[in-house]
Amino acid sequence: MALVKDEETRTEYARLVNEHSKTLLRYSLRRLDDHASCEDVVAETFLIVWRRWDDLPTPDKELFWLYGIALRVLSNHRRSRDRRDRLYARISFQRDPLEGEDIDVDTEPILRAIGELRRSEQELLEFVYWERLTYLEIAIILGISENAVGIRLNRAKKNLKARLGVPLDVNPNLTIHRGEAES
Amino acid sequence: MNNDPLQNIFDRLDVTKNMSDADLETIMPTERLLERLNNELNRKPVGWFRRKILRRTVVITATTVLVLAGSAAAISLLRGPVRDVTRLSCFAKISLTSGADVITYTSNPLSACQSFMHWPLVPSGSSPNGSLCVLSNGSLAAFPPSRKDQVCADLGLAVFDGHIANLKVAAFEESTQNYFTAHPCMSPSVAREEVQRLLTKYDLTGWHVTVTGKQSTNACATLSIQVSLRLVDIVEFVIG
Repeated sequence: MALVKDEETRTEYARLVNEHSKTLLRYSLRRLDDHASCEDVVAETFLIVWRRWDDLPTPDKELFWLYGIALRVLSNHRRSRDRRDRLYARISFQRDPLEGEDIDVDTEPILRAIGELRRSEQELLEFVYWERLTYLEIAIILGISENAVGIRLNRAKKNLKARLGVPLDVNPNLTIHRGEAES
Repeated sequence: MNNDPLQNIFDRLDVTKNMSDADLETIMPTERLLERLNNELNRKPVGWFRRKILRRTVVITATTVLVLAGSAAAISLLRGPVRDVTRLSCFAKISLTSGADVITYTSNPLSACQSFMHWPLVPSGSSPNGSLCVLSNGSLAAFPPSRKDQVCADLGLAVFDGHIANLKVAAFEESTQNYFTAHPCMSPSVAREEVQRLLTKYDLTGWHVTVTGKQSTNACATLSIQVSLRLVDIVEFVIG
């Protein structure tokens, strides 16, 4: 692998890490259960960036490119984790509670409903509601059309509503208590 | 508050909602990340170390040939076991400079890479499913289907021999090699202590550590690990 790069590239790489590592850490923290794994995902993402440096897009699209890589790194991480604990993975929402985090029992049906969605549907919902990305930005990440994002998202919402068995347009009475995240 | 109930749900599930950038910096300092990336990117592959050992020890003794001598390099170009089962590098093309994604795998590595990379098929190729090689760091690499007969050899890599090395031994070898790389001229006695410490650390019993050389006062140490004999031979050499 072409690991030897010139000084200018190294400087640009450091800029990329400085600029986007926190965003990717947030992305990971929302989906994984421990900080060490989150850091691994961020580091692995940037290592892949280095190897694929020639594919780096223009600055206005680089974050979405990074999300796309992180998405696959995270997916690999989950597969590895799920092999270790298939039973738990089957019944859990993809982001497990952080250490010290207490989720109210009332939310369990919602978590289960989200967890029962296809992984691709969960990812769409997460990109929309956590990363607050537009359809176009998600389309860039997933390599699909903007229209396809809209269709899939509607399907995901519909499936979620069907699983919940309650209309989501009625504000659900949710209470979620969180403890202190580890520092 | 957003009127979309799903937004409210996800907001409540967002553990980073109240985290500032300073909080995130506490969790993962950028400096630590950069240092980690730098270390990973500058880490010298095992093959480099073995070649270095070869150059240094070839003049000392012919008895420590297994790892140090040219035969090791020759063997490594033919067939080899995988020492790192945690990573599988799926290459986009038959080139080490082509893009590669590192994935984990549970079943057939070639199938895993095929589904991940969507390699184009070569109907009449001699390796229609792709080629499995062993990288110098001991992990598995998969290359797309090709009509070439010797994809791994052409890339200077060993063909995966279907065996996964004893992971404890592999970890011991890697740690030992890393240590010797970081300390290019340590005395044989110190080297012996370090090797014994690592053997203990990796819970390897029944191994022997020997020192070969003339006990020169200014000697440096390198080593030969003969897994089949459970033997670590520390070999003295004198620079210049």
